[in-house]
Amino acid sequence: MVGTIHHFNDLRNATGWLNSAKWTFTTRRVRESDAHFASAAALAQARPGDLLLARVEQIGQHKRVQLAQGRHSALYAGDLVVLACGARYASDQFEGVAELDDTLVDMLASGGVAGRMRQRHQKVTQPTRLAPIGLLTDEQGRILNLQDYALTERCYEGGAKAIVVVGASMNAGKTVATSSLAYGLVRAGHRVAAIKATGTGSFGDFLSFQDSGAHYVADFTDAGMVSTYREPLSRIMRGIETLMAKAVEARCEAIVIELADGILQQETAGLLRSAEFQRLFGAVLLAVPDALSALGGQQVLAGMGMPASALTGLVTLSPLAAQEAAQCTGLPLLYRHDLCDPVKANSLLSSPAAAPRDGQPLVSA
Amino acid sequence: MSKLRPAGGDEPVLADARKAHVFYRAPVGPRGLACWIAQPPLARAKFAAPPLVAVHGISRNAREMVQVLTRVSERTGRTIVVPRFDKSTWRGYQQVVRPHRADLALLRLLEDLAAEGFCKAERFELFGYSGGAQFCHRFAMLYPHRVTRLVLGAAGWYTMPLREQPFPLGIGPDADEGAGDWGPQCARGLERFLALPIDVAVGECDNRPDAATRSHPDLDALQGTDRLARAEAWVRALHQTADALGVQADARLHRLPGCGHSFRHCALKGRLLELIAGDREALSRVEARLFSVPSLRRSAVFSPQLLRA
Repeated sequence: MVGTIHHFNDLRNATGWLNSAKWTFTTRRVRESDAHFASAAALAQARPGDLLLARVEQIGQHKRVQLAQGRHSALYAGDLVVLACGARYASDQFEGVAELDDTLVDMLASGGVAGRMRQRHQKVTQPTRLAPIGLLTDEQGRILNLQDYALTERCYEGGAKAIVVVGASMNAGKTVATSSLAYGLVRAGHRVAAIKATGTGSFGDFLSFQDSGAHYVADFTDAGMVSTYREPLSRIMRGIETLMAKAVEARCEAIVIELADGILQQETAGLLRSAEFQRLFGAVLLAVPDALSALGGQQVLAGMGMPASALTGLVTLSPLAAQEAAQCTGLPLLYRHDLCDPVKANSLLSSPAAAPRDGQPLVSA
Repeated sequence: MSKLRPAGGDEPVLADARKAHVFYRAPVGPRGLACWIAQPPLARAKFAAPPLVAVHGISRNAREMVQVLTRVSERTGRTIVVPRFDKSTWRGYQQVVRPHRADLALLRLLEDLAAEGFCKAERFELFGYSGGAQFCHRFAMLYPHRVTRLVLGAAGWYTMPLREQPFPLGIGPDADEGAGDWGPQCARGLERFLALPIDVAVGECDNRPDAATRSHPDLDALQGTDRLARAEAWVRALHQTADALGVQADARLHRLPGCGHSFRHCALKGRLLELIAGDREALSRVEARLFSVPSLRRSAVFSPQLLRA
């Protein structure tokens, strides 16, 4: 345990509650038997990643939670849940911060993120409200945090070819692209890692990556972060390197990494601009919903020093939009079936230096 | 349910410990590939070694091929897989990706064989004869990371490393968008392909076009008119391309003495078998053969029933 020892005199025995609590996806690395007490007094000092035991008070936007076992569980008022304190950035749902109140807190994500909602998309309802019982502690009263269960930090020293999948926005088709590409690379005979490097803890992407047959699947929660929103870039970067190094330890030679949200989101943009991040990747796959996003995304990425290698995403569902996107950007357009194709998936891994230069025959006839 | 029918059908087979064991595996699914498998005698088996995948020509002589190649299995301890691209489903399989995806069918077969414990499938040696050699070199261009060594026997013609010619004649883009971008896909893995050990063997008498030799003015101008000339042109082009890219090519041309276009003759009399077994110097030596040439039936544990399969 690396957490600070707190001396709260309000420690309540939580073991009875925890027997019937729903442990959410973000807590999946936690050894449940470590949790003994719940401290309400600690709520005001909660940090991102601290484990919270709470009771469902009022069902709102999230009517079910994602369990650590990888299935949904319908929520009922009165249910006990274990989640992690964290922030969330979701342009089509909630934006919230890692702050806990001692009366009511907001469920920011069904993967198991609790905090304080600051703004929401007009099409979503109020968040599900939780009555906090307390932060979970071990026998010594140390607050349990996801970081305590994270993978040991590692430096990535190469050993695999990596492709990063980014999007113009949320729901642009990044996860489908990442999973499809992982599937194509597996079919091409590679040992493949699929990694969600940023975002908010949720099993949707994680399970989708597993379904692709990828040999190693991980996300930022494995690096101890419940959400990467408002986390320092240096910490996110260390997490990415840890997960990539772990993928190489798992003998993966191809790594597909998805960055959450759009390329203008603050942490995503920060990573894309960083030379440290740029050096890790050979190709950038840009998922976009339409042609204008394709053009804008291409220009933004080029400006960041990380030019797009190809387009994919929802735009490929519309023949006309796809045609516009290809024409205005000049980038190759990869449909889902292309990404699933072992030949085409493999070509994304190939170094540009391996291809003949345009217009220059390698050998004259 | 097992897809395998062991040699001998219901009869127990008393395997000769020195002989390879040969199986026929029925296809799975409507586009699955049947195959013959030669497994080395246990005492010689090298389980960690990549298998040898051997691809037949348009005569679809998979059975004859496995019969001959059992000797390679016995000598090298490798598992040999000879898929059969049947005529009704896989017409044109030599072009690998069109009109149908023969590459995907082969990859699926190898995945299945790996799952069933026959062989590792991550990487493999690839040998093809005639139409099979066409398939193999194009497959290796598309999947150079899967192939450890390439041996080609008397391909009718080749995909040249030329960006100005569309696939399958070259590795350039096709003006017809519907034809796919297979040429550029080959080009992307070209450096890795050029670095593979590649042996191209052609009978020294296979130097005249025959009824099966494809002829076209572009093809003839680029590669020559017969199999030997085309093999020479291809190997030369590989070296020129490798030089231009700064890659160390390892492609060699071997003329099989006294041989025409018969696979059996090339294999057993022309020392192609030694080449397939990995002895790349076999044709430059004059000492006695490494392989004896007993009757094919006695060379492996075969079932007469299976030979009729």
